[in-house]
Amino acid sequence: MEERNYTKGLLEALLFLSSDPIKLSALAKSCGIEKTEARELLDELILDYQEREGGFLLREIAGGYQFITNQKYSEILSHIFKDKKRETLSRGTLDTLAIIAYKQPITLTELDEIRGVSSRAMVASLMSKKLVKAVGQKEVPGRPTLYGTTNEFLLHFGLSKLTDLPTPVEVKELKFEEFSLDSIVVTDETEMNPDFDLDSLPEELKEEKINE
Amino acid sequence: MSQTPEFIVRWQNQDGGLTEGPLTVLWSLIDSYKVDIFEVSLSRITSDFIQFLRTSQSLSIELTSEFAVMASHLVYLKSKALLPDPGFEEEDYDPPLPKELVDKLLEHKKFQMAGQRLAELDRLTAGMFTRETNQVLDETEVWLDVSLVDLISAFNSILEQESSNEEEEQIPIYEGVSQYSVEDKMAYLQNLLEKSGEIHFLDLFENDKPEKKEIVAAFLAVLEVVKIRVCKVVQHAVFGEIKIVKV
Repeated sequence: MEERNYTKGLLEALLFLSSDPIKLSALAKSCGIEKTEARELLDELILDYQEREGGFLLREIAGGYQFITNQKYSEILSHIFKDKKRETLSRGTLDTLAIIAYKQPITLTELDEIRGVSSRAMVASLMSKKLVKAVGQKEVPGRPTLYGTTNEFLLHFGLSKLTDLPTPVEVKELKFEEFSLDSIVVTDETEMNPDFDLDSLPEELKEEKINE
Repeated sequence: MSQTPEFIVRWQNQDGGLTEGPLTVLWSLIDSYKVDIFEVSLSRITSDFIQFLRTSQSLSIELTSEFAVMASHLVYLKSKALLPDPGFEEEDYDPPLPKELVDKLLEHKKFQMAGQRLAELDRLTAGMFTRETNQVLDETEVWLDVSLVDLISAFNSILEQESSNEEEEQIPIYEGVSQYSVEDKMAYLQNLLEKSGEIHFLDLFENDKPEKKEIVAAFLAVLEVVKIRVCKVVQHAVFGEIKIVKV
């Protein structure tokens, strides 16, 4: 029992020191215990922090574990630490991302088909945000690029694995009241990350240069 | 002429295309009718959609080909549905939306709602912060060569455990059953090493509570295999656990 508490504390200390999520295997190895035991202790720690309802929580994310501030302080913390505030993504971006997340791997054409509009710029901007990556080529004539979500995507949405995504509503259950067009602001949807290397984009996403 | 519903359209500057395309507009039309999608009249939605195109042109929104395509597609579907059907006698037949279009609309809607879920998650996680500084875990394990003293003390600790059950001296069923020879142990060790490449200290013994004889045989066998350079004994730098590895 004493040893168990010691190990649990050691895990806590390791997680405290690291700001990035640490993988379960790495934690188990560092403490010299089996993965199953590590998982058990980590689950306990998660509960401990949950019950304590303090300023931060332990969460399981993208296959690892990480301390994170409690959501109830998000408002005030983003006032205090202005540079920490993350811009939320626009609806168009999120809809595209949702299709890629649930339908991956998916080609640009298939994506356009579902959205009813061209998604080229959208995918390029998602790639520059590192939320989407090329995952291969479809074995059909022309071998179009297939797109899927990244590990960064899991981190961004606080998911531990893809299967944690909320299940899309079955279309039969849809009622028209559930949906309304938000009041929409005109924004430039497809802002690229300034540090992004444009050459790493698949050919099909590059802007054609049009001389006006 | 039905009242034209209000539309709000979002567009993007870079691509010149609309991010909320014709499907979204169709949905908002359907929503404005306040009827189930399976009861929407094809004629009505076609004329409303074309009406929407005219209105938005006067608002000077740069319309893309996608909208024109959708409009022509609707007109095509409508004309196809209105073609005289020999088995059909009703005068003012008002065709519903064809299945392919309904499916497409529902699919589109499904992902819009999934996008809404993601938006909620995005809002939620945007306000949860992590720390800046980072201490990277060193994932390389350090195994040191074991000293003879440590090896002896490891065997000693096993021996001490053994002494507790010494009082109930086990009577062998017949002579030779519990005879452990160093050769057998060496063979046992080398067999294990072949299989897994390393042996943890406790796996040296064939049962959980080894007898003194087995401990002694194992100790001598380990010394022997190290001597003939078949393997070496290492100890974990942090946890002090001992294992035997192939050279």
